[in-house]
Amino acid sequence: MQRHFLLTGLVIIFAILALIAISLDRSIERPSSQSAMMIKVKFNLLNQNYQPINEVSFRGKHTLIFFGYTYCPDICPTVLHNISESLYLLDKHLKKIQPIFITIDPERDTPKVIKSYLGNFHPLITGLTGKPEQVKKVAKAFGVYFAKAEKDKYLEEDYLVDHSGGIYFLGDDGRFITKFSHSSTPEEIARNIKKYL
Amino acid sequence: MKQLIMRISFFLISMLIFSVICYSKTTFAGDVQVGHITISDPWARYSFAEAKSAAAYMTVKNQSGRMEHLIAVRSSIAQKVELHQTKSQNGILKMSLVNKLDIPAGKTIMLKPGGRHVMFFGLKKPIEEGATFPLTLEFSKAGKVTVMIRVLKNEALKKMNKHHHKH
Repeated sequence: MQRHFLLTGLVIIFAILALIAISLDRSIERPSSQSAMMIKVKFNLLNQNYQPINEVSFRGKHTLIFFGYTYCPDICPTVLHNISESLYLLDKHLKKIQPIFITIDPERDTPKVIKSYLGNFHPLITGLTGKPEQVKKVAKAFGVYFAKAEKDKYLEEDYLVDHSGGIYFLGDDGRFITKFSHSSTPEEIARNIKKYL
Repeated sequence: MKQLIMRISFFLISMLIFSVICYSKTTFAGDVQVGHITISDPWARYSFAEAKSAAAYMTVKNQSGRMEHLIAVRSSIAQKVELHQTKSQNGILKMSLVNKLDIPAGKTIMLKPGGRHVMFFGLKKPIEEGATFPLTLEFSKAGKVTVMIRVLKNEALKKMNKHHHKH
């Protein structure tokens, strides 16, 4: 009888541990077979200081990439804020990491606008923009979708853009490692990055 | 008789001054009440120099036994102000207009980053950290109320969240 209790107890404990493990890992979206590979794309973009950036500019560093736009007042600054906080948590490892914000709204997001925007976040974050077809090419390579939402008839320039919300983490060789959900906490991002450094 | 009138007038003026002080205190202390609706912690994230948009957040509590609706938001700081909701559909983030926000009887509704928010289109000028600006909310039953939105820096948000967790 006592053994039965012990066994049931153990099963319950294991079940609880498994549930905890699952809930802790919810921030990681498993790489699909499509994305679990090298992200091969040649591109020419500009950073916030008007310096040209291409596909090999950040080789040798792990990159943390988020696609967004500066006109987005709610979710984009929230994600960049969480990325910033995760970078403060990764303090000692920062030499190995290059966080990157890539705009999916290059028409409005000039390097100057991006530079001003990034002033609100961790100083290590680089912002990239460029010719619309170049931005499209990079987004496509990552499987990032974006499209202008319906324009307002009164405020034509004030359009919104629907876009994929993941945070991509790539190895120092440009290989895709994992993708974090946009709702990941700074602690979740930092903890998972540490695993791969 | 004259002295009595003087005393009464003095008393009334004192009461008036006192109520004005109390009113302004409640306006800036965070919680604002209109009918059975309480609005607390209204804030917005500070914008950058070229920003043309902003979002504001708050907590709205309905202490009545009836359903309420937030039906309109107005502010002079932007060309257009709307209630919005950010949603994730198959990994794609979309912001959409909310015509009226339901606040069920006895319930508290949070407007917070990544969810429901007040959206400002065409900011007339950037909103700076530490500043406050008025936002008028209109409820279906409780009517209109103006709250002062506090503009906070990103770093301050974390402190504010921590402060909230303590409660």
